[in-house]
Order: sequence, then structure tokens, then C-alpha cells
Amino acid sequence: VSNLEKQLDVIIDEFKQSKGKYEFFDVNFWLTATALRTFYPITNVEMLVSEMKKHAIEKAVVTNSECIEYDPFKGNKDLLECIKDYDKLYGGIVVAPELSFGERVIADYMDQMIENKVVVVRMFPKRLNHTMSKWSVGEILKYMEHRRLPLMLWHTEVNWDIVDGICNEYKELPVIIEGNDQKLLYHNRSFIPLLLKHKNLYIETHNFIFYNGFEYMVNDLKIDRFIFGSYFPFNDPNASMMTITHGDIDEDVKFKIAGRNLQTLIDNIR
Amino acid sequence: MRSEKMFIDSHFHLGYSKDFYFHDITLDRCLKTMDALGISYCINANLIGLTYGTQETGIEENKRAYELSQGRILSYFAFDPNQGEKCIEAMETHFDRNIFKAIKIHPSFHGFYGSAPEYEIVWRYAKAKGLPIMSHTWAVSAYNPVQKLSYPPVFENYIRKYPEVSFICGHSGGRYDGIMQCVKLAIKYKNVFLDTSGDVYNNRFIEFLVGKIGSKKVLFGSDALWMDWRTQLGMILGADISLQDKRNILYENAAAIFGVQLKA
Repeated sequence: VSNLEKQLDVIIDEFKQSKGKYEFFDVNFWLTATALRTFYPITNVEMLVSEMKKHAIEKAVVTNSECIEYDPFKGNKDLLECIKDYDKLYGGIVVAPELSFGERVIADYMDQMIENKVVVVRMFPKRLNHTMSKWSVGEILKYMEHRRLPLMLWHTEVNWDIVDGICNEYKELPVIIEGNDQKLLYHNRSFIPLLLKHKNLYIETHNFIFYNGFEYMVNDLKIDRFIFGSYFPFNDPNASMMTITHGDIDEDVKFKIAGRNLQTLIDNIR
Repeated sequence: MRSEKMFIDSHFHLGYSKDFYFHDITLDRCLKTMDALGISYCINANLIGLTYGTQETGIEENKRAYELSQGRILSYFAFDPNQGEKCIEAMETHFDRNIFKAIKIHPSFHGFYGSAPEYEIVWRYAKAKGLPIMSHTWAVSAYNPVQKLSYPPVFENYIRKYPEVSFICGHSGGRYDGIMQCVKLAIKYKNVFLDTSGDVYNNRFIEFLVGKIGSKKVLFGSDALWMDWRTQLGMILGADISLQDKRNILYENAAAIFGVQLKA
């Protein structure tokens, strides 16, 4: 048994080292003020950055919970203020249809956001009570497509027909699906054909948890459009990290999933 | 990872579910992945026996998996209260402690509260045979109403009545409220243990459990071959707890509870 102890020590160390190796860039960090229903409240940006280092996550895209609990545009404004002094943090804003109402100008707003390190736009049609139809958010998506600014959606906020429709209508718009808060596993009969069909569709990894999922998608189906995300601080990044660090897939693909795919999307923003 | 194999997965499933696509769940592929990740044994609740109501078929599949894996795939007997007597008879017929290490119940699948009198017979049997019981446990869910049948407090009367039977809360109650209820049970009763299986990825979940109930009451479980082993292994290996705590969770507790011999 003492031999097992030594082996375990080595395995733990290997995992720790591998986390540092792949230069993780997390697309799914959240700024939250709530300490409710959590085992370890992380309620400010300083704590978030400190924990990020501890987990060997090099860079992260942060969204403000205030956006989906209070007001999206106030949340975005507060987010930019919080992250402006941290060069490893980027913004993931939330927008809603009112961005195209009256005097609001989509282009001005988006351009200003991009200038302030915003690299992803999220929409929450259920939580924020709107439709994803073209007559509602079409102009916003069209401008995002023009700037190649990625759209991020929870699969529980839309349905797969909507995802198909958006990918089809806005072919230059990168669309990232995140599996919150129900296992993506239950949807693999839908998202696999969509990944095969749409080159602009990506899956965020924190809930991409099905058995040998990366091995199947990458090695058999030749799909590597995955973007590492942890849903931190609500979830433990180690869960999503080890499926990548210890996946039976090419080293190059591990780097892509861990961070390079996201970096490429950011580099492509015009 | 390493060629050495030591981890014991307390919550594992062979077989299919209608709910999604399984790519390759052959035993051969499974064993290769276990080898790569250092997993020595899995305690299997075969899905055909657990969810499809064909317990005899499940038992035969379990025996076959044990043979083909050279003793690395161990099993739970499945107990379905819809056919309680029949299940107990099957357990008795096929009783082999080398293969069958415990009993699995799943109130949410089978449509009975965990407190239902239909479960009395299995607790009595577990006590008589010295078998642990593992149950699916979960929080009350808005989108999956049957989860209320497996809400942790519903098991309390049986846990109290049968202190000799080790009771493992599968998934540790699943979501925040369920986890807190399982922790309460584990603090109150010596015979209650929690496993880490399922999509239970709360930040500092492992540290929280160890801090509240101690690592001797926590078991590594994965819910493979639905979910990937690496998610739960990553959380435990990366947790901010001691090496001894990790040993307890990853293999020592399971070895003791299921009667499995560790190989150095």
C-alpha cells in the first residue's frame, strides 16, 4: 500500500504539471456577488484572479452574473470596469433586443465593447424573455457576424433548431454552445450532426462530459471545434481540465481545445 | 496517465440508456481506458438490470463482465421494488461475493419513494448478507420531478433501522440542497457514505465533503460509462486536501466497504 501512496503522489503531480503545460484559456468565468448555494464564495475580481492562477488557467473570459439577474447592460458596464486593470481577463457581455431599439446603435455599442476587451457576446432568450427570431435579434447577430464576434448560448436557453437556424443564417458568426445546466450528453443526438454540418459551431467543454467524448469526436469524427470552459467559480475547473490533459487525442488538438481555438476566434474579430 | 492501477470506481454502469447515443461501450475499450487512467476496479450497476426490468439478464451480463475483465468489473445486484420478491430470489440464486459486492436501488427509476415499505425486504436481505446498499440520491428538481423520490431524507428511517447496513448516497445528492441533506445524514449516521459520481462539479465540492464529514466517508464514483472518468478524477486529484484524504476517497474506503483486495 505504501507503494500505492508513492504512485498516487506521482499521478497528482503529473496532473498538476499537465495543467500548466496546455496554456488554458477559459471562456467561461463568471463574476458574481452571491455567496448563496456555493461551497466557497468567490465574490470579487481579485479572488477570481487569485483562484485562476491556482488552477493554472492563464487567461479567462468573464461574464457578470448581474447581467442575467438584474440588467444586462448595467452588468456589462460594471464588468468592463472590473476587468480593465487585468490584462489576462477579457469580457463576455450579455445583450438583449433593446440594443436595436430607438436611439441605441448596435454598431457603436459593439465597437465600444470590442475596444474594451470584449471577445464574446452571450444571449439568454429565456431568462431575459425574448425570442431569437430574426425580427428580434437579427440586426444584432448580423453586426456580430460582420465583426466575427462570437455568440455564446446555453443549450437550455434555446433549442437545437434555433442553433441550426443561426448557424445557417449567419455563416461567418462563430456560435459557441455551452452545456449549462443540463448534461450535454443528453443532447448528443442533436449536437453531433450540427457539428458535422456547421463549421461555425463550437462546443464549450465544462459540460461536455460524455465517456471518451473527445476521443470519439476528435479521432473518429475529426471535429476539434471545442473551447475550454469551466463555469468557474460555480464549477471546479479540474473536472473539465482533465478530460483535455489526459485525453487520448493528439497533443496539438489538446492545445487547440485548451486555448488556441479561442485565441484564434479572438484574433479573427475584425 | 500511468500503468499502475489503483483507483476503485464505486459508481459505474455498463449497458445502454435510451436517452442518448453511446459510441463505444465495449468492455475491451472500457478496460483500455481504465488502464490508462489507473483504475483497478469498477463496481457496476448494469443498466439493463437496473432500468429495463430484466434483472436476470443484468446478472448474467455482470457475470460475463467479471469473467472477461478478469475480475476487475465487479457488480451491484439491482433491486427493483416492482418485483421485489423476484429480485431477492435472483440475488439468492446468483449470490457470489467475489462478483456481487453490494445492492443498487434507484427510487427515481422505479417509481417508489426511498422510504416506501416495498424496500424493507432489500434492507433486510442486505443486513442478512452483509451487503452495502447504494442508492441514487438527488435534490428535488423542477425539470425532473421523479428526483423527489430519491431526495436524501426519504432514506433516513431505513438508515436508522439498519445501522449494520452501509448506505452509499450515489451522487452525494446531486445538487446543492441534495448534497447538504446527504451531509446531514452522514454526520448523523455512521453507516452513511457519499459517492462523487455524476455531473456534480461544484467548485470545492470535494474539499467541502472532506471538511464536513471526513474523507473516510467519501467514495470516488464516476457514473461512467455515461460520463467520463476524468471529470471526477480531476476533481479529486486536484482537490486541496491531503494525500491521505485522496487515498481514502480514491481506493481505501471502497476497498474496505466492498471487500476488495488492493494490489500494490
